[in-house]
Amino acid sequence: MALSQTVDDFRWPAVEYGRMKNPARAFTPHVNLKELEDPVLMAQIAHGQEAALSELYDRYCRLVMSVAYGVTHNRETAEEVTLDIFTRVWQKAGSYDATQAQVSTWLTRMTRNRAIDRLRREAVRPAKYSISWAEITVEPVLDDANNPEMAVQQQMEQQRVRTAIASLTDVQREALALAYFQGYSHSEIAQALNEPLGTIKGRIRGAMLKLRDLLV
Amino acid sequence: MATIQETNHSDIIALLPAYAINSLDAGETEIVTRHLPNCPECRAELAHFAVVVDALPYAAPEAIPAPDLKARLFEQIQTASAKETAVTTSPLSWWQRITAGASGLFNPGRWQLATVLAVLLLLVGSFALWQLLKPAAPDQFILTPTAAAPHAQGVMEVGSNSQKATLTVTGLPPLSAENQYQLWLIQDGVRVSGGVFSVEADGSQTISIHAPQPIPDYGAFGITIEPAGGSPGPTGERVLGYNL
Repeated sequence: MALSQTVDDFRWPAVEYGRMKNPARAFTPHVNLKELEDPVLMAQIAHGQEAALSELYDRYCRLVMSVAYGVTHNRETAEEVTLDIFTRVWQKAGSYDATQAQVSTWLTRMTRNRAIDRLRREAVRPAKYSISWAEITVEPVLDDANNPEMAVQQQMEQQRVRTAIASLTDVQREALALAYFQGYSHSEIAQALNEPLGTIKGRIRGAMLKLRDLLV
Repeated sequence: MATIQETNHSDIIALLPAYAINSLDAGETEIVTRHLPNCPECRAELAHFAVVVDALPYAAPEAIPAPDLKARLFEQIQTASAKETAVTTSPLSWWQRITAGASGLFNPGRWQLATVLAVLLLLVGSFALWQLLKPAAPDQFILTPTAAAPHAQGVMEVGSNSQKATLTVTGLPPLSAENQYQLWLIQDGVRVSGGVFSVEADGSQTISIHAPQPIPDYGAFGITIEPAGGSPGPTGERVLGYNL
């Protein structure tokens, strides 16, 4: 049963009009959605603008799908999770708070949680599972003529994060992958890898400290 | 399990990286969650690790959705929207069937108007009698805290439109970036989301609620901890609740 919660009542103050490139064009009939910042796009979605949802999907479907696939390693399940996430965006756009997180962060957090929940419900988490983090390669610019600026931004962020991940030791990457993509706790990782609990705690902590120094 | 008092501050700081990625065991998670509202230093440190966690999706091997997935998304949305429209219009067809059936029992003409008026008077009279006899609905609900948030308070005040209310909470611990609080409206065991929210640093927040039916008609309310963005149903610990 859908519950309406209008942006005006709940989250409107979180939308910063000043972040728009051209505020005067916010709600005119011929606004170019591709020029809108993500929070303003979310406000449009909250008001039932399907075109805004279409634009948001174009911007982030690959990122959402990648996270979902990284967790589930099943293409069909990952697509179902992706559908679920953007359906939830349509239903819950009014609850998005721009002061709490960027739209991309909001999406990837929901995706990770939803995908891990799916794994847990289906009890398909293997005892030993290693995910190969994306390798660092010089990728060509994503062929996205619709929004090349967004494609370049995401590619740059990918390179930055992947370079940081590559600086970790193999065992740190392995423990971190199980924690992030499988949602394993310290104890579960220790059991899965047959390692002492203290060792796993040290690897997670070491990995996160190193990444903090590189990414923050 | 160590208590907050037995866990010193440096130990808690050491737990923050794993807390940010949600890989602590349950006991340690509870210790950190309870510590954070009272420690600006730890909250600032946690914010750094939250940035790391939020960057990790960009290191996932890229997967491209099928070309028809977008079309499936909008088909799903439009189907759901059509179903909601059908539900909201059905009561009118019931009234139409009553008047059509009543008028069909008699010959058309002068009997049709009299029949319609008689049915109308009967319905209005019954409704007025029901309004007189039913107890007045309360306009304020006080939510009580659970052991998970013993210092929390919640008040839901129903507006002149009984489907609207304002929920004010205080004393709720701010959550990690991975989680938010979610309000549930409960009737006959069915839980409907009333909204998802985060609290300010001092644990307070005020939200407006629009319910699909009068709020006093619900038998219970609850607030739980859920993944950021909310859940279809309660999955986390309850922090505040009200039972009729």
